[in-house]
Amino acid sequence: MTIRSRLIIATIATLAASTSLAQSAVSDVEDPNEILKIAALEALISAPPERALPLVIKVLDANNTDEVKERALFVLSQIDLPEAQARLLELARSSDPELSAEAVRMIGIGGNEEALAGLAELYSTGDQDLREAVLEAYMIAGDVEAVYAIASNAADAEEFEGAVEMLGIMGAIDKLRVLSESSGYTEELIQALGLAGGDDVNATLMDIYRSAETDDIREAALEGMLISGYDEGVFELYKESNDINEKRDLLEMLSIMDSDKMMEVIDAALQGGR
Amino acid sequence: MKTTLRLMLILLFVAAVITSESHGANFSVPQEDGWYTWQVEAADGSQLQVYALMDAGQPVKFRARGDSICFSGTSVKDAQDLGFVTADQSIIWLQGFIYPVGDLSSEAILLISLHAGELPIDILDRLLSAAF
Repeated sequence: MTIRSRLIIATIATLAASTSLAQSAVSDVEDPNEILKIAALEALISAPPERALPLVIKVLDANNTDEVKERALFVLSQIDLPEAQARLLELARSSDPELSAEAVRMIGIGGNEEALAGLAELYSTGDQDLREAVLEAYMIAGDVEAVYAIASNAADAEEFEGAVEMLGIMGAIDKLRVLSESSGYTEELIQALGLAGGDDVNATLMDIYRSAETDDIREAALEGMLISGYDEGVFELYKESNDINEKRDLLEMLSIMDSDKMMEVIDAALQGGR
Repeated sequence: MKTTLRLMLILLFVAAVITSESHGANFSVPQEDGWYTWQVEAADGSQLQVYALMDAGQPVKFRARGDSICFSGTSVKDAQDLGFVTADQSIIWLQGFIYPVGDLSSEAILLISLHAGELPIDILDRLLSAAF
């Protein structure tokens, strides 16, 4: 079975399985023509790509609603022809910010390497919204290297934070560790580690907390544990600490985490322990 | 000149007959309640098994299965087999359920797109070109 055949099966199975979802989405659309256009666009996915492409382009060029154009962009992203990907990139450069951001996201969904490579230029010249859309597209496509390149070449703290946060969401722990080699564990990197989560990260967060030279880094490590849901670590730190203020902060964190460990703390207090 | 004109008329008549037959306006699924099935050529050249559940003279559910296609669930075992139908015949019958716009519209459109030939693209093109 070809990849295209599998795609058709997967697409149709998805459409069929989500009939109620599709119907509820369609029910939000009142115009009968729009309902039919959306259905026709979904049907185009199973059409030969060279036949589907001109129809999709016609929809995008015509005066259609945002909803219809968004569906058309999705179909365009699924057409594995160079012209389709070039058109998608062209739309990503559109002066219409919503259409542009949606086209960027669709490039991420389509995962075409050339189109993804074209996003780098768009990122460097785009505004904040477009930059976020590009990062999101890289995240959808799983393009860790592209996000890492942005983080390592970031011109300012805000740009660095955006890229590093995305690396955390993508679970790119190795890249976060590499970035820490040049700058040390900054607050952004620590919180991104928390987003990535996992046993290795939890151990790193504990190390960072214990060896922190500033309150900001210590707080960032704690927030990282909050994000990764590592209440065992916070509880361990609570038991280790002899500083009443620190214990209060850690207890507060356990409370925010709605941790079962709070009961152990209360039991210990009632029994006259620490 | 007369011979040429006559020949042209004959050719036009033959073309009309062929068109009429290939579009198969006569095909329709029986109105009695129950599942019906028929085979058509699929867009990918394989054979597509189309299913329709009739209730009170109207289809209420569509399904289709093919080598690379599975639309809306599994096949139906107790469907009455209507045999092989040309893709255009099947499409024209399905096209009748696009309007009025309702629950079956999207299913009919999707099912049409799975059929072989030029007609599915023509229908999708018309739907996509409709003005708001």
